[in-house]
Amino acid sequence: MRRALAILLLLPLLASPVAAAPQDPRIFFASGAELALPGGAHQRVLSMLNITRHMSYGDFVWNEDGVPAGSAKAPIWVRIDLSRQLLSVFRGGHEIGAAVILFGSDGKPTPLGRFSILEKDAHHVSNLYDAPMPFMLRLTNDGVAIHAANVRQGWATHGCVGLPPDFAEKLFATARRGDMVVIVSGDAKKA
Amino acid sequence: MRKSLGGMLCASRWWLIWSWAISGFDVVDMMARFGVPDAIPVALRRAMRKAKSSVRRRAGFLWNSRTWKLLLVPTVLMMAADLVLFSGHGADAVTVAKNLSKANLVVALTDPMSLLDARSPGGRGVGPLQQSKPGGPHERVLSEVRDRDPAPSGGPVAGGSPNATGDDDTAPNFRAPSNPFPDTGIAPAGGGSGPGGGFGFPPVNPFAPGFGPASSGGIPTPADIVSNDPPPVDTSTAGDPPPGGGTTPPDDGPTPPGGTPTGGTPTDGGDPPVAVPEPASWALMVGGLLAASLFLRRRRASMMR
Repeated sequence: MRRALAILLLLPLLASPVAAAPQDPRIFFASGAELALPGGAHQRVLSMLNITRHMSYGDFVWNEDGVPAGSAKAPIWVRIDLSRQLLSVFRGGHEIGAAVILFGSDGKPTPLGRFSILEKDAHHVSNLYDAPMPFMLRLTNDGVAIHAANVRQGWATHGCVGLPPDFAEKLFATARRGDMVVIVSGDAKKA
Repeated sequence: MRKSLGGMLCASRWWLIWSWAISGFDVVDMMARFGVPDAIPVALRRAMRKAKSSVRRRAGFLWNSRTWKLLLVPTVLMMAADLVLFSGHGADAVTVAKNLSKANLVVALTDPMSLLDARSPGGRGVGPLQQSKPGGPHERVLSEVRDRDPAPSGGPVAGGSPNATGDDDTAPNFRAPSNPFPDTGIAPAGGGSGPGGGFGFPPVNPFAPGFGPASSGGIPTPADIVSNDPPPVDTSTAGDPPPGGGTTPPDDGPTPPGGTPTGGTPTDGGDPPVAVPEPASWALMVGGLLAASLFLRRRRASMMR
């Protein structure tokens, strides 16, 4: 009798209640985590968006839920991972945005390193290519910028970083001049 | 497996139920044996008797029964997990467990790169790429400017991080920005060209006070500007001036004094030209002085009266 009751009490443990639980928007790192920056520096990360699926071209997530109120006015920094084709936006150590990107082709590679946002222009038209580049965040003086683009598989830019337009608009509204942008290869084989 | 792992992590919620069950098993047993109406008083009497030596009985019961030994071990483990995981940021582990496989669980708790790997669409495939610019590549500047030769690993990185080295996430394929025009035939914009140097005129001011003999490569000599004619414009880049240019082919005619007729990106290596009023501005200023003096003279004359 006791064994039967014990087995009955064990059954709920095997049927986990996690399936009915709503998905939390972000994953916190209890002791913090660090992301490597160029130059051997590291940036502390407290939480990341809970995106565990493979994002498709044109996908993005922007969610500031769960970010402490004290970090609301903290400056952002942007991490662009070329090998993973991902851009992540961090504010106060918490990731608030992620998107799939386009980057430069082999002939026009996207430069790697640490940059600052030099200029913002929501309605920029490239005078190099006669092409509109909405929500442009200039990174270099020779034309490399983050801007909205048609992010599709098999496409590439001329060195810029292309973002889905809606995400680019959000990033444009959030970023300020001087905010840090780090472009990393993310590929250990290239190091 | 993931469900089982999540269930283990959430098992502390059942700890109270287990505790109740351990203490109430006898009651349940008697309810089955004597029926519900009679079970309650009987259970109360038995509970009173058991309370005298409850601790010793309970401990002996737990340690003498194989079933409860099997239950006790996971219970203690789950209580420990409860203390660790549900205190502070412990819920993070639960969140991770809900969404990650067991193999990724441990890694994700310490390495955010695993999360990036999980969401990444993958690396760019091999094959021709579609250019995102409409109409294909149509670039106004010469390609030498924007072609970045692959640099050896460990080279400097861009964007003003001279201390950067080439590790995993550094810039192996980028040239230092301190010299954006390193190749031959690319004249440095700092050689006298400034923000105003992109329109085919030398960025010098013959009317500027203190204008004197030029240094080599910088401000032109008076002989260079005596004609007051604009220098010859590079036809390959004439017209709409490209930004960030400042390039001239190696054998592309004479280089105008003070720099190249293209460009427009202010760089280091040259003083910016001094702003000088144009004749219209001079005329307006002189007119203003005359008007002011006339007004003062009239007011003084009226006061004298």
